[in-house]
Amino acid sequence: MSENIVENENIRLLTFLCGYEYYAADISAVTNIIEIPEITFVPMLPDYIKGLINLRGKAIPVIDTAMRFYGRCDEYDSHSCIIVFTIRGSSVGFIVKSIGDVIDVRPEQISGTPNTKGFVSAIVNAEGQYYKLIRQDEIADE
Amino acid sequence: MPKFDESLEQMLDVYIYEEEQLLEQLDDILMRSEKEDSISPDDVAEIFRIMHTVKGSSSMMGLTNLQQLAHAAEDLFSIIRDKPDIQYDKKVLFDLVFAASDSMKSEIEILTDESAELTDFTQQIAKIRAYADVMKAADGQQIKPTVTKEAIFSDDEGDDVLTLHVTYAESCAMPAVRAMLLMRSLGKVCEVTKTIPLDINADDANDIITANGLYVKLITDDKDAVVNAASKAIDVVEVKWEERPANTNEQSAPAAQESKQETAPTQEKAAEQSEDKSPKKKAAADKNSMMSVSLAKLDALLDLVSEIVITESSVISSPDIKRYAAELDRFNTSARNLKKLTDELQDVVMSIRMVPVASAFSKMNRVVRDMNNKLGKGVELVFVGEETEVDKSVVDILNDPLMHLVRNAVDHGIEAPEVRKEKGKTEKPTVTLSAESGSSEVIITVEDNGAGMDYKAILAKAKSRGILKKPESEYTKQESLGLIMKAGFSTNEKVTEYSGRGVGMDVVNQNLEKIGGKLIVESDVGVGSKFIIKIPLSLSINDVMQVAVGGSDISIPITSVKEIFRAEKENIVYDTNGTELIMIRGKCYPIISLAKYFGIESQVSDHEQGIMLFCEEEHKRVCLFADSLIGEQQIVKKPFSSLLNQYNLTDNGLSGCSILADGSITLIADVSAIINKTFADNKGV
Repeated sequence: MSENIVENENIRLLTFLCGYEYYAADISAVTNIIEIPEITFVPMLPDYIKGLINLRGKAIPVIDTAMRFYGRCDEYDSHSCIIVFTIRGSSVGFIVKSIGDVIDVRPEQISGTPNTKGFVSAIVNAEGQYYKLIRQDEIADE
Repeated sequence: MPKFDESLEQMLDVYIYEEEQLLEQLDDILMRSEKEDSISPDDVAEIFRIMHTVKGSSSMMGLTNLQQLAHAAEDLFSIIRDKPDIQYDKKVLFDLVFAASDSMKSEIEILTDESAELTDFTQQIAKIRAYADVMKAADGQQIKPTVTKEAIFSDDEGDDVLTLHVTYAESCAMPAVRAMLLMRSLGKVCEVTKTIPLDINADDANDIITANGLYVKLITDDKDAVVNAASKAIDVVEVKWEERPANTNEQSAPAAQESKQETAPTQEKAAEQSEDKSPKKKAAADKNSMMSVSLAKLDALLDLVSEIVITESSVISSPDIKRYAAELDRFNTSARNLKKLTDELQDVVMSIRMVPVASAFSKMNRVVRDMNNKLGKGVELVFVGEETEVDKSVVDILNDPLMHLVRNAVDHGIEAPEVRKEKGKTEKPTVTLSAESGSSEVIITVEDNGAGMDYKAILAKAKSRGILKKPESEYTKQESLGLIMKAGFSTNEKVTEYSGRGVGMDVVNQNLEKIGGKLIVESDVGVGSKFIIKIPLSLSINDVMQVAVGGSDISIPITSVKEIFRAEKENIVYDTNGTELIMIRGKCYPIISLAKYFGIESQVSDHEQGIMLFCEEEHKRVCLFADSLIGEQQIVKKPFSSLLNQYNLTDNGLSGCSILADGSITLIADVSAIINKTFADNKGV
């Protein structure tokens, strides 16, 4: 996925805060950003899957990114929200501490990590601020 | 080996759907005609049209075997159509066409299976062709239409009009289509004034072109370009210019008249044809007022509408506007109107999915016909209330059980004619299919006036098979009759083609139970048997019992729940290994605590405070323990997001979820999975 991004000219990323670190995601995979609604707990799932939410009549799973990355929950406040991604045709929500700006970056601002697996595919340097570019499908998979 | 070009694959669904519809229509017509023992000209035309369409679309898909079979059948009916008074043996004809229809159906069924080869229909085609020849011979006339020289050259055309004769290869299946394509390419290099046959679209154009070739009248300056274009066309074997006979221009008066006479019938025929066509076109237009839509789209629409209904109620009853309630007169009026409209919208959308059960019933006509032919029982099939509407998915599910029950009724139920005579039964052997809709279920009955079943014999038989669950004397008549639905029960000693394998009834029953249906048997010796199927009106809507477990809301399908009660302390027993059991009417059943099972934290641990749900699945009985009862609900079940597939929730006892009217989500438990998992985890329970 990161390979694709590197080839393109203009890359638009959605940035967000999780814990105290800045992350970025390819905006083309993002379908929605919503406030955190009531979450229905589903038993027998890993603890980072918080449960299901009702997104316009569809029950979609939500993942707590802080739980997924660091193994502990962030405290949600009025800035916290859910980024809805489409992964292999299905919607999934990522709970994040807060949403940042949408940034446009050039390929040379992105430096890939050697890891072919893992949650982070590259580091983005945007005017002195570093963002970790996520692999959302790795995050959603077990 | 793929049977299709890749580009055609996307058409495959439409093709299969179309062909199935057409063949069903064909069967209907054949059944009706056979009953009346005559084929009306309209029906002949209709059968011809169906075969013609099958031929056309099959050739488009490149399915030469189907195309040729349809072609043979089409030719057969074109003979009858052209000579309505021709003599033929109807029985042979019906059998031939029924067989052809069956072959096509089974071929279409295996189309998507790439491992199955295209079936070779050569023999069948030869049979049909042979019979067509017999018919033609009986008529003593050559059917093939011929075009005379004089007809080609009418005298009212100018000298600059040239005549091109194009001959197509004999193997060319649809020369008319090729001709149409040729016209298009010729149109670029010349001006076509007329073709013979006049109307390439006409039904008989294919035969005329095959027999005589195609004549094209055209005006052009560049003869070579025309010949070039024509010879490049597919399947063309010969292209030549026809010279106008030298004497045409100086024809004597009688000769001219003669030639006019020759042309006149052609024109008349053409006129006739166009007249013929107008009612046909009208029928086609009527058909266009119906359209088929994919179920997926309908489901999406239904989802959207339910969403609108939920959103609407959350807008209208929003807490934000509550405080202005006193000043909201106009808002309330509009809100009421909106509610009325959305309710209506929901009803309409629901009704789109409803189809009459007649489509499932009419398939049985065919079953009974074939069995009558084989068994010679002369059974009459009667429909009652076939216009009753049920959800499309219900009709699809009904097919198999109906087939089983009707076969059983004809094979076992109805006695052989001589036995009936002996018993003094004068009424015609009849199987009645009836449908009526209740408030939440459809009731379908299959009733025969045959021998009926002796419940005592059934009971004895069940005893010898060891299926009895309690002492023989405790069985009521109703329960005894119900035994025929148990696995491994078959009262017929010998296995026939149609029934007697001992799997019939219990499979029917299981399949019906799976979708929340029921099968009830009533029977009296000598009077007949009655099988009553009850199925929910719509399969997407489930009745569930909602219970609270900790903070979670779990729904248990009502079909699994037999009883709900509060436990008494003295009825709870602890096994040596700590398993909790409960005594119900002298029997012991394991208790499965939903909170423990799902790992949900719950305040209620005392059995007397919570609620017990006595459930039965696949003959296993357990008591589920939950905190409290929320109530009964009707829900639309949705599967979990595919991203959760990796966690195997369905095997672990959750079959899906549902969004309730207030927008909250409830989880749907699968009792049989819960039982299986519990028993697998602690063996010995």
